[in-house]
Amino acid sequence: MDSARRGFLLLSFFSDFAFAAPLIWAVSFFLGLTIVIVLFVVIGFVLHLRNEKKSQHWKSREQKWEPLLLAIYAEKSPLEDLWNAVDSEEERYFLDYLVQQVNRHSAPWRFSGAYAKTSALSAPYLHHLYPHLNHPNVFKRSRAVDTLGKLAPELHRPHLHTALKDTETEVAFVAFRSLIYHANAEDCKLLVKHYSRFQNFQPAYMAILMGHLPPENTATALVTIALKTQNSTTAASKWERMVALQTLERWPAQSEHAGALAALAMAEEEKSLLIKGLILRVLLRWQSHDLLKEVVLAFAAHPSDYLRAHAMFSLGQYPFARHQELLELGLGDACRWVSMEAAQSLDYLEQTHRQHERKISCSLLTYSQHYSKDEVFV
Amino acid sequence: MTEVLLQMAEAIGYLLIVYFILLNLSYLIQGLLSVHLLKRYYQKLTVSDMERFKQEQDLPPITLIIPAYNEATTLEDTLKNLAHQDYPDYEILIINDGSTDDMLPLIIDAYALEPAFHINPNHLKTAPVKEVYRSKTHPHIWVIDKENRGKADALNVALNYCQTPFFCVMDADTILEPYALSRMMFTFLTERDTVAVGGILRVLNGCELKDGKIESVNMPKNALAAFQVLEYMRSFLASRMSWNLARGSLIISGAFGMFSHATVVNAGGYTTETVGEDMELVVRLHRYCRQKKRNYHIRFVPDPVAWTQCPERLSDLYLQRERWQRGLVQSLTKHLSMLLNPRYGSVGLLGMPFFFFLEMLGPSIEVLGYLALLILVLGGKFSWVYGLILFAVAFGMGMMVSMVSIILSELNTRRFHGTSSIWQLLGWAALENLGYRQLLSFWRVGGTFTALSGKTHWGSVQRQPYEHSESVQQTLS
Repeated sequence: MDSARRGFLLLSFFSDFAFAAPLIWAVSFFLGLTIVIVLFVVIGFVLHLRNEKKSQHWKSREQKWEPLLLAIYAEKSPLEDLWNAVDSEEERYFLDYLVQQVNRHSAPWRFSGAYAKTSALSAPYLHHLYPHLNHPNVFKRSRAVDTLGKLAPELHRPHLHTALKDTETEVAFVAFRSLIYHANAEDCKLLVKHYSRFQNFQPAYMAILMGHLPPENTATALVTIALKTQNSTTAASKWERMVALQTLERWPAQSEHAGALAALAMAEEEKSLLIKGLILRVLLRWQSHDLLKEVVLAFAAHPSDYLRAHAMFSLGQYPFARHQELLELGLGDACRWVSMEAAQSLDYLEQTHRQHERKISCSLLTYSQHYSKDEVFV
Repeated sequence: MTEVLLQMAEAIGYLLIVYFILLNLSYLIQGLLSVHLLKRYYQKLTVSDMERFKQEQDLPPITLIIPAYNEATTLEDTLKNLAHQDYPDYEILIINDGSTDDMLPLIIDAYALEPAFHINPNHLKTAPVKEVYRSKTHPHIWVIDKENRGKADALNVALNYCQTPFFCVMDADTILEPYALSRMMFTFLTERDTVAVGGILRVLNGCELKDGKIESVNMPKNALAAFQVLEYMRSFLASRMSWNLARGSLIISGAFGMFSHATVVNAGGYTTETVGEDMELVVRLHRYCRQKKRNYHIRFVPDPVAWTQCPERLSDLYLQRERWQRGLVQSLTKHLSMLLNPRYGSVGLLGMPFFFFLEMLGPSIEVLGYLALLILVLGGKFSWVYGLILFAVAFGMGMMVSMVSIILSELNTRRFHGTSSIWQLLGWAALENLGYRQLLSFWRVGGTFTALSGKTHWGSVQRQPYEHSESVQQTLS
């Protein structure tokens, strides 16, 4: 009997609860939300205060170190003065501060006496970074490589070489960039070997970076890459060849290679017109006039609009001043890009104060982008 | 009959709760994902050596396109600000879309413009061009004077005249951070498949300008502008950032975005059939690239900050929001076949449904829900439990989303000055639910109807002159 009564009471409790449940749920939900909102508010404020505090700390450190650093740059005080102003818990921040100095200055500064002093100032603290070179966190690895690469690349070549082979492209690229500005013969070999892993980048940007390498150590290797046609069994990818050619375009004449490149531009087995156009640009930059003339005249009569546009641009260069009739023909070309190049070349030739070397026209760059199937910038 | 009406109202009321939960939950998830993405972005930026990047020789040239219609109040200041850009190679193309104010004579005078010859390589169909000018004192500034036919047409004229591989579109009342172009270009060069990059847009009202640069970031005094500060933060920091993950972002603001010239021209340029030409272009770029089976990225970058004026008067805000909604409806209905279409990958299965069901239909559901609530109250069927839940999902979850945006703004480089701005933001986040939000929804429903009626007129918003800091005002006077 008792158990039946207990059962009935329990049932009635649950039926009451079921009646009140929606309200309880609604209130609980509301309270839960309020707690989360309050939590978010607290996080927001803590973050704000932390940021304010961080920026104040950073400012006070800068105020402490800046005059000492300037005095060292002016050779009015020894390095020790600044080292003495770095507390043990500030050593990592000091490295960041020195990296900031390097970042602030222009590229030539990185070869100055002031840079050498900045690098020397970092020496006692760089050991903090070594454990980070193998850290599982990608950012920590790339930051350590970046700091070493900016403050003491010469001393840390082996570390940078290892980082170049890092499984993460992000880390490898930081190492690549660090090495490229201070590359010796061994670095050059490695960089040429490894640049193909950065195919996620626009070829033109990669070539801008590769252009910092000393040509005497690299040109032959890049020409070899450029000369490999798509159909050969050892074909380098089109991307690699584009980078190689655009890098060569940035360097002074490598006359011994001009003949081979000109022959490739004329060869039928080279199917990529983008590559042919790039070769023409290299020959223009190298001012290989005799070879250039042959290629330009062939391209001017080529069925491809793209190569005709390149020919029209080239005809606006100094050695072709007497081929104006081709440019006038180009003005009436059915392709707007070709006629535009012809018009710009004629305009350029008419200028009295023209520069000896004409910069590649924006429109030709844009046409290259339009022409390339995946719309790359070359 | 009354009973049926009440039952319908009850059903719509529940739909409203589901809508608010879905909307705020998706914003919340986006916001939380953005926390991680933002952190990762800044980590990458730390090791990117941007200073050196800017100094590299032969970075690709950019054309900065500024379509302008009656922008005499702000254009000159905008051009002054652009002089601070640290990118080494860019030209400015201002398209005067048949302005009726004294913008053109003002610019001709200020920049010594004279008629010039400019070859246009492309031939998108546009209204006739009257004259092309080039500045004698600043040769990188060009002005194209054309007949008025709207923003999209002006942008197509610019595309016809643009001779650079990349172009950046910005509004005439927008101020760019000096590093904006370099950061955008960095994304293009380090991610080969990038076809478009959108930058973050922040509200300029209340901020102080010094020498054409933002001196301090403050909350505006005007309530409408303050609400919009929050909206922009939610939209850009919380929402757009997270779309990077799904590669499905459907919008790059017309006030600031950079594009690959070839891709945009090959996709057909801007359409004049919609007032939301910025969104329509991005949707079409997705469609074009997917149909061509191209690898591509449409990116949002949180760092290149563009500051823009937001409307401070109700009438201007109405015109803007009604137009935005019209643009949204027109863009989405034009590409309806992409909706839930697996052929378009994450865009078809995530991006389109989000924008279609939550952004486009959302305001209509919300307004219907408010009407249903009214019916329930009048019919004596309103339950307090229901009211409490609705309040929690609309107000409470909305607050949570706003808080995540405030947290995200603290992770961003351009933070608000002082703690008082954070308190103010909190206050506005609570207040926006009491009238402002509902008002916007009503206007947007209006926008949906006008879109369906085929209206493509823009309407004109009154511009405010920029607020200069005291020292600059002294110099100017």
